[in-house]
Amino acid sequence: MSKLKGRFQKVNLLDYSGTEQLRLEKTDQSHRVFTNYQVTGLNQVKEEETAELDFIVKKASNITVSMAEPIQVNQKHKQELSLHIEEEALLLWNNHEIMLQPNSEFSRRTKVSLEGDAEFVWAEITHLNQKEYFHYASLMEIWVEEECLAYDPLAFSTSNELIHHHGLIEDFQYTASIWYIADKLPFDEWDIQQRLSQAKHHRAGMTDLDGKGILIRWLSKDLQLLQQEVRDVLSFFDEKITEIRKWRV
Amino acid sequence: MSTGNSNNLMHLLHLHHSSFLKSQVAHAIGMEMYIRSKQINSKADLASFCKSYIGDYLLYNDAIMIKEIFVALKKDDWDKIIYLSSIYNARKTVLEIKKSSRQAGNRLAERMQSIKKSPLFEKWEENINEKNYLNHYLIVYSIYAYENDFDLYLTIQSYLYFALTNLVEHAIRVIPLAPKEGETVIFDLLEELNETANNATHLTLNDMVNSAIGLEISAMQHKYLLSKLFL
Repeated sequence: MSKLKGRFQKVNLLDYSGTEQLRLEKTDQSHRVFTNYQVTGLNQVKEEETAELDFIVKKASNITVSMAEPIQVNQKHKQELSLHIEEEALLLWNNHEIMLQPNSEFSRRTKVSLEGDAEFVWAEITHLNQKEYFHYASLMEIWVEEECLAYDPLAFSTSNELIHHHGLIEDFQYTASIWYIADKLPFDEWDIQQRLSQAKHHRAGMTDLDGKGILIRWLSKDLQLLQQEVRDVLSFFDEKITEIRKWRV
Repeated sequence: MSTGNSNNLMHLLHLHHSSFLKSQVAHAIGMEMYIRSKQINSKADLASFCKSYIGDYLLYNDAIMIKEIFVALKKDDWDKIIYLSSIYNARKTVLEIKKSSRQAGNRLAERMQSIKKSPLFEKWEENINEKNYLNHYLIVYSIYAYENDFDLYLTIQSYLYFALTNLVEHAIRVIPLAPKEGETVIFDLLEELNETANNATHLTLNDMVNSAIGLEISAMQHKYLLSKLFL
């Protein structure tokens, strides 16, 4: 198993360890509130192995984690992610992309646990290859203290004969999700709505998560438009988060 | 096993009577967007939607959950039942659907308790304590069906049947379609519905999946419609 462990405290990375090719590096990118890190080596993990990432964000730290490159799934790729965020801290799992190649299988289990008023942002775009066999499975569990706020076992596969039917992924080639979990969101839902287009071959929707966050979901055939919208939303989040947190660091 | 007992069967079927607020109606809001955008515009489109709704969305979510609750009730494992209810609650991402499912659950629980006291309901209420948000229609329905000794297969089958007929009833009024076409859609899917109910009895929580992104996005968009046909 390839493992990557890290404990983030403000601008420092404590208790860091990485095996095989997996590495975590602080980037040169400066930001008013965030310390930025980058994960490298995920594409080099052997297909029979599981990439295990275990991160803890200590109290009142603002951390961004990005992937060095899109995840190219050529055959099999398996991940286990455990993300723990302490109170007042914020973890932004930056926009990353998963590209499923023909005859590939991707599976991932992500467990996020938040203490008190911790915040969590996650953005991901998945490239579905619908012409040849693929299997994508991703279970996202988000726990706020003892309460399970989200349980999202996404699964798309060409072996599902209903996949093209109305209501499933139909003939869309890309899907994306953004989660923003926070006790008090620093914006109004209309701020997000106006950033989502309903262009042809592109669908987007947003929902409130019981007053404790939001989920935005896309299905699209237009990768450029999808990437642009995801970037717009994240950049809006960045602006709002910076406004609030710049006096807290 | 009570499938041979027609009095008991009537009892189970009456749980789906329109005098109860049914949570299955909730997914009509996702379907409404498909109808408005003319993506569901014919009998064939409606059949395609219903097929994936029953054979994917309900099979890998609600049907599995009914089965798992039956298993946990058999073991009298209330910690597991609370856990399953939390997962079911968290699995419903679209707030409008979540609220409607809770509202229907509360209505069913209140109504049934006022008709006949149920020791299992009381135990459930005691266990959820103040977590009323876990009182979803499906959970209350499963507890009630188990307590009344209804067969698991029949409980799932009738749940799926009424989910299907509700959707079709809503759809034919709006598309619009002739009632005969709606009935054909239902008759054509009955065999598949039985297979789905049968498959569900062999699945577990680990088999739960979400492939219905189109339906989810439609239900999310429904909130922002200026005029709504389905609430």
